[in-house]
Amino acid sequence: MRFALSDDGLGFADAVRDALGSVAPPAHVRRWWDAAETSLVTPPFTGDGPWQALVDMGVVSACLPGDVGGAGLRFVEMVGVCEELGAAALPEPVVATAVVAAPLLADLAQIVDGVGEASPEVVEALEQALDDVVAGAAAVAVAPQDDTLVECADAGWLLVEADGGLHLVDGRSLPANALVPQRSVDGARRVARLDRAHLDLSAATQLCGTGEAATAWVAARRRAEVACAAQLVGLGRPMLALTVDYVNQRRQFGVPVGSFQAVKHQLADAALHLEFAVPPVRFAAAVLSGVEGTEDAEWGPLGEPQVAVSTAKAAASDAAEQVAAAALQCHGAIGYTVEHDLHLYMKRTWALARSHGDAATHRSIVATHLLR
Amino acid sequence: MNIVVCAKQIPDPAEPGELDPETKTLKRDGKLILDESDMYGVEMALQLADNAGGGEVTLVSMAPDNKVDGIRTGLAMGAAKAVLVSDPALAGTDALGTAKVLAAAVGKVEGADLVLTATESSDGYTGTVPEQLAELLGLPSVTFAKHIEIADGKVKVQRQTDAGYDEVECPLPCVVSVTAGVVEPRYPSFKGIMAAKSKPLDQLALADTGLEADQVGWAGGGQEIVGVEDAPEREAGEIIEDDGTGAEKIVAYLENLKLV
Repeated sequence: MRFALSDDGLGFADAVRDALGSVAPPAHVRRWWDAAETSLVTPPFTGDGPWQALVDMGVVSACLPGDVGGAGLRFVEMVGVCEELGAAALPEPVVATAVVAAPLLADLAQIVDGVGEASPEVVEALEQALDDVVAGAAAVAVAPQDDTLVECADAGWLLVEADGGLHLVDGRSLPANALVPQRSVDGARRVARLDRAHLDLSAATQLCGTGEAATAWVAARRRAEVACAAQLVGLGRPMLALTVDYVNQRRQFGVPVGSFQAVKHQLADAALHLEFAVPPVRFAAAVLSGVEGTEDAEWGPLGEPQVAVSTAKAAASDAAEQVAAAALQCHGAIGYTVEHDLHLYMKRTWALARSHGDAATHRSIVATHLLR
Repeated sequence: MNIVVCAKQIPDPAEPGELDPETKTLKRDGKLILDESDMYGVEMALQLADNAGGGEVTLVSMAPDNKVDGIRTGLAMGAAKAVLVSDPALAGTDALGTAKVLAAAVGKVEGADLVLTATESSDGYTGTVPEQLAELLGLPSVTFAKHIEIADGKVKVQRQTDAGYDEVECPLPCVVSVTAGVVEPRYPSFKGIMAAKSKPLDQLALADTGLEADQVGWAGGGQEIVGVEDAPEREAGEIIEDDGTGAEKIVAYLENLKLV
């Protein structure tokens, strides 16, 4: 099993890193932080800036099939891109739309087409949602029934899991109190809790029964978990780079503080931990994409998708948090000033490490699978 | 409207460049990327071809070891095909030699209406190749274009000057060098990146260009690098404590330098 990115995957990740380097510098992330001081409403992001640049490159629609205007990419080809989106601490809901909700929309379109029981309204809405993804007119988010936070506080479209079925809701026509913005430790993050009392789900919004779509729904949630892990791995890189730079500049006793074992060993450990989290993340993405070799019998129960997914999320959460802690400590006092860019990455790390299940949760999932 | 763009592949400027003490030239054994200054040419060419209602954009490049990573970026942006000249005999080729090789490569592209180059590369900075190329191709050349329009078989260029710009017209075919900022280069799309791998890439050796080994490389160069040394470290200055004669000492110091 090869864990390196494919040539295409590498090309996509390089292109996204280059683009984000110019359109989404830390100052961009900081604008979302600043906006949160006064209001948790998501700043307008479609039609401009990094979102539009990524739409033009075909990132947002990459996982949609070619016949609806996507590039037909599998998740495994996008995992490097998720790392880069994480490394830029991009506030726009690109990951939630591109690798989680959009391919789910495409899967559901196929299911709805096959079952043929959905209302004409929702079929039309589904087409519109797919068009919106391709045109970059709206973000799409998923709202699971377990009350997980919705990854985009003002998604244009919302895929809602409810008793007896999956619904597609136009986010722009939701009552104002249906999606309640939640303050995150990361000021650039815009998450919301769905208040189902203010949600009007009916036959006109129902796509299909949960049974028919169970596989697609579970796959989407697993992609969300691995994409989150990939972002965490990506976040570790700028934190390490900033810190290595800093400990080379900051001098004490006439030498850079980075020359002290207490500093350099700590950073070496963090770098090692981070690198060791990469293969589990890439492997989980390969498993979810059904890459040849991942169904190998030798893997036995480890080949089970959820084990691979949970291993990835646990490893990435731990590694990124270790890097964040080392980075904060090695920066000394300056690391505690929120004006420092380290905070943009560190607080995103704190938020994502606990989102989609923290390390302990995922370790217990792995344990349950291994010990049953 | 068929346009040829000269595209140089250079070591990533983000990584500190290193000189090889053996060959006394820049180390180019790592990954090479498309020179950012050439992205403007590629973008300009794509837009001109688009505005003309069709035509192909072809990249020509000279690089060691058949390196294609930078070329692929240009193809991913939308260029249709590429010609790459790579040969061990080309090591050490100077600006004029490079122009000879590029001229030969441009000659392999049929029906080129326009040749675009950057004003200079971001690693070599000689800034002479565009004019040398035009001379070797026997074409007129316009340099430092900050705006290009094509109409009636002519190219209309706003040519950057110190004070503003000159308006220059030139009949096609010709060679135009473009400044950074002539257009905003696009980011390669994912579909473009995937398609780039299957676009025609013509890889030529020196023999295919019709040039002889003594016209290029170290042999053909009109120059020789005799040594490479680190820039000397700045020495600490002299500190004069003012005991009342400070001014005199400064004057004496300046007199010693023949400045007063």
